[in-house]
Amino acid sequence: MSEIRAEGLRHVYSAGTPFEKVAIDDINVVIPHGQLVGIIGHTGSGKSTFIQHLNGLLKPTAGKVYCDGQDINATKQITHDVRFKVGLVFQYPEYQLFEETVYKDIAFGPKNMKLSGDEIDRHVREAAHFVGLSDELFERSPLELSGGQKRRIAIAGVIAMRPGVLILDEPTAGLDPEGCAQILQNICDYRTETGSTVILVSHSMDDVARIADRLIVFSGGGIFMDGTPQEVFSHPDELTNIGLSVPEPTAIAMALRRDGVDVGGAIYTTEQLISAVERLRKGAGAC
Amino acid sequence: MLKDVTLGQFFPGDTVVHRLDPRTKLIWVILYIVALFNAYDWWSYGLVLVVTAGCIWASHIKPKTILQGLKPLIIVIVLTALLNLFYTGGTPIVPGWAITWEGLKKAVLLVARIIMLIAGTFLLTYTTSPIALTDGLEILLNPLKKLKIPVHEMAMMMSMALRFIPTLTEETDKIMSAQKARGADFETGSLMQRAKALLPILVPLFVSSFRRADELAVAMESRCYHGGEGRTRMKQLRYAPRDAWALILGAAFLAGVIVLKKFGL
Amino acid sequence: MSAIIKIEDLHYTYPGDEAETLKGIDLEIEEGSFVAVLGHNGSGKSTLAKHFNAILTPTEGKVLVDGMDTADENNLLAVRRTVGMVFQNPDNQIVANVVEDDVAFAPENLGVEPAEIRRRVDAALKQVGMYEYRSHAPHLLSGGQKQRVAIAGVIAMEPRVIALDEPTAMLDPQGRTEVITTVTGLCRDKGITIVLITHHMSECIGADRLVVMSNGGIVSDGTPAEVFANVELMEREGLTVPATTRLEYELNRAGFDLPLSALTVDDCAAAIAAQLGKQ
Repeated sequence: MSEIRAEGLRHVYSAGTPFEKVAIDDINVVIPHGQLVGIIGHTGSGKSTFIQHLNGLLKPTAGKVYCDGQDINATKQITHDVRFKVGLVFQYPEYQLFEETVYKDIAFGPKNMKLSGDEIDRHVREAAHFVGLSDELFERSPLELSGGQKRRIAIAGVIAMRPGVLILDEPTAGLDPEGCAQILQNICDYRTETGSTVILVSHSMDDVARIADRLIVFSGGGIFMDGTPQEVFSHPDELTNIGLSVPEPTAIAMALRRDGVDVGGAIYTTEQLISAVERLRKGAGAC
Repeated sequence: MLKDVTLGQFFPGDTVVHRLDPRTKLIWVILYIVALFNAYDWWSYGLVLVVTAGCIWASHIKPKTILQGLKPLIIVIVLTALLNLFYTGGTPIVPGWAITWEGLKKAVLLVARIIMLIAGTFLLTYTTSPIALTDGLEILLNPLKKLKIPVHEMAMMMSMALRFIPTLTEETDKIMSAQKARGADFETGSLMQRAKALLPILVPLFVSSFRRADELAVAMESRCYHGGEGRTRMKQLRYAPRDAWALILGAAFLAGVIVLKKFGL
Repeated sequence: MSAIIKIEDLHYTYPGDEAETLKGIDLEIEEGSFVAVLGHNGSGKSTLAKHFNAILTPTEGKVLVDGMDTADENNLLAVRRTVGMVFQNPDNQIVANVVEDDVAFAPENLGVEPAEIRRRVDAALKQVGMYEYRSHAPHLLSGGQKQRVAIAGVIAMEPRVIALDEPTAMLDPQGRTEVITTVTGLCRDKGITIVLITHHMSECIGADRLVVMSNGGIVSDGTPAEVFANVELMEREGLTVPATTRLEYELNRAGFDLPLSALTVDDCAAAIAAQLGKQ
């Protein structure tokens, strides 16, 4: 369905000026349909630049981006239409709400897709359901609502386009722990129910470790590591070396290793750590 | 894209132009504008051009940067050129054409005037930090306080507006990207359609600007801001001999242009 | 140690609201301490913070800063000099176009002598590690750097308390570390009282005291170890506990005997290693 492929992707900002900056270089990656991918990397590593190429907002300086085998920058029309297949939710999306009512704002995307009134209605209601927004809010002004609700409306606005690929840039930024947990749950449920690809850019190692099928680690404009959380977090020292933090359970596991306790394997959730420590206790003892 | 807008930006440096007192530069701009509008023919325009080039050279600001500042006004410039080119009476360049020699000259001179006007005023903001500018303005306009004009408040508003220009352009870029990601189209369609398409950008921008202003006011009050009464300044404005020289040169320049004008040059 | 901030039965209702946001808070902040205030969104923690420097004044009850009643308008400037505030949005605190000019804003407002302002600005920037950036334009700085400039702008007033309202909410992990390290240093090295409003548990580990708010009231108050040990309460409040505490708690339920006060990663690992070694 919606497979994303990047070949030799390179982007240079302000080329030819004294402010020239190579944001990403030689990115080659295939994201098959239905994966939940976590993209991690320190600020400035190229993550934001990369994801903006996937829906054609940024044009490559070199290289190509394919969606379903088609070059998304082939023609202006194709680039315009790919935005409905690859939905991108920016950071703090609640700052982009503008319509008079919640319903109309969520309907903005479907309207731009030139759908019929009935189809738009279906899309809007379905999207609101996914993010846990009740119908009663439809006629309210989005600006009256709380920050958490506004964020849901903004995410619903993108989901309403029924994109085969949903990209979210730091969807939990600025939320309290409960809000974080709810949004992540909504995202997981969305992926389970629709089978869409979900790409999550996050600074929160703990969040992505828990829910991602695959982690792509960016560093200095290139892909540093690419694998399952299992694979990526078996190399915690390499991650800390490039300035990334690791999930807290991983940090504890590393400290335990330093203290002579080998919890083994790749630890990145509290549950794994608990099992590993309990196993060691039941075994012949550590050290 | 919007990052290319250099309006209001300050390029720090250590040239003599940078080091001039902002009040000197403000007065200079006024003298310059008067001179520019009094320039009459090739000689007087030439003098203004030489002086402008001299100022740009002395400030070490790249001509390219000034040209970038002209970008938003390209329509005005072209329109002026065309209007004067086609609607000035006189001797046609090619018989039967509407374009006359007089028209050509007028177009060239007027375009030059617009360009130099922009360049001159931009040079002011490029070489003077907004704080220095508004401080200078505030001191120059201080006498108006007696007429109950809120000079300090206006200066404060100006300096803050300048401080937020890059932040607001960044925010506008972000909002545009977000709406484009939902299929918004700002490039195609009739003028009406394109105007309507701006709503998804303007509304969020306005809303966020009001919120920003609110938060800023609270932050300022938290740092004991209470208006202009009793405020001191870390950076004191002091005249130096170079300011006197600059003002003398400015006056001489203006005098020169007026004299040339009297001679029909 | 005396209390620099005393809050007595504080009630607050926002104009136009029906329900109270703060429902009778009693709190004393000791000078020189590092206090963290936690709570889910809507618990009233930001509203409480705004009472510290008289942005808001009580609907009922009293807030005393260094003995001064914040409700008395004559005390306004003195209160704000004593308690400086740093807010969530790094951009919406910076007023000037050059870093050092912004840091000078507060002392300029207070009518301080120019030479003294210069001295304070330089000292403040050095304290937050931003002295090399003094001539830079703020909009080119990272979030963490901007927040440090905001902190410097507050230090330049020479306050006795700095209250920070979710200062790291909009920052990346690196920025968060920069800010927390800076304020911890200000407390430990300079004796400035720090009140940190946050919902990031990891930031509270180094605090002297945690106050947990919920629905306009205080539900827990003690050292980080004491407060986090009450895992059920934290979860009920929609908050989490640090991974170290959670690990210790769960392992204890499985028969271990780990101190819940081992909050840092190293302490936690050492405690577990010791337990396993004793087998």
